[in-house]
Amino acid sequence: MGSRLGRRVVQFANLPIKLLMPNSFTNIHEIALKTIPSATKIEIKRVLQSLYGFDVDKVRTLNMEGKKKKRGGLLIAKPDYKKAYVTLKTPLSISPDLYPIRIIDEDKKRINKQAKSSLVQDHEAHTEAHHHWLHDRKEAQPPFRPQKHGRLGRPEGASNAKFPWSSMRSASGSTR
Amino acid sequence: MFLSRTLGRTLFAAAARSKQYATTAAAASREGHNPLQEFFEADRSPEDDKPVVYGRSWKACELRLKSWDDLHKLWYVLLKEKNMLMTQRQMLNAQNLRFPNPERIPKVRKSMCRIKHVLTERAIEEPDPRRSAEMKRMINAL
Repeated sequence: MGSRLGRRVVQFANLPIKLLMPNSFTNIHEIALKTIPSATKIEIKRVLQSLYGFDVDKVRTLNMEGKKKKRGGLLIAKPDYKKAYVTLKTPLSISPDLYPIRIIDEDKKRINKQAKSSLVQDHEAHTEAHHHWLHDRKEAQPPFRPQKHGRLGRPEGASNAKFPWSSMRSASGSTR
Repeated sequence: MFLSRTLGRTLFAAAARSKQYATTAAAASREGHNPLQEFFEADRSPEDDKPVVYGRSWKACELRLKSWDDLHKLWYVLLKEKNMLMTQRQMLNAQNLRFPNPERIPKVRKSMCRIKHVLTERAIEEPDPRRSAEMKRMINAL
């Protein structure tokens, strides 16, 4: 809003501008902004040129409705906003080391790493699930060794076995 | 007569403004200053051991001592700061991340409200009624 105080034009702009995250950080030809719905293209262009020093080519705007959510009978509504796509005459680039960008990138990498690791674990679990439940049992059991049987179909080491009836059996055998 | 004078004034003001914009943009490109970086916080490093300490908001008694030009400059400094903080908050909230030191936005907003209050006081005390009306109209548009 311009005002004439004495012999000069005084302009106190009060336009809130939120920059949306650009897709790439190099060679940016167009930037996306969020402002209030009452802002006009001319106002946006003037503020960007005078306050920030952008070399603006053209501004395209669209009114967006804030998200509406109903919790029971209560309507929770986020405020409406105007989205502006500003085309720049000269392409700009920003370094990814600036504060919010760096944190967001690190967070995305961490999430991707977690997702990949969980996928690997899931794959392992899936392959394990394909095995039959007896396979592990067989591996756990000792391998089968055919025993040499003596006379009367008893194993040879039966006489040496320390069972309470072994002495009885040997005694009965001796009496015969 | 009056119409031509008004038209001339508006045209002159528009020309001056466009010239100012052109010089600002040219200066920015000449210095290699990137205007996009003003929406981000370059100095902040969360890895440091010491927590970042931010200042308080401007008091009305301090702002009353400032000249018109100083208040005008301070308004734009605060507006830039507010836009930067709101951009930062919006970007972090979009990724479900915590916005650090959220009390900074109310500090900036209160400072801007106090500037407006001081300007209103000056407009009321202005002896020239026409100038006072102009000032009030300008303040109400903020």
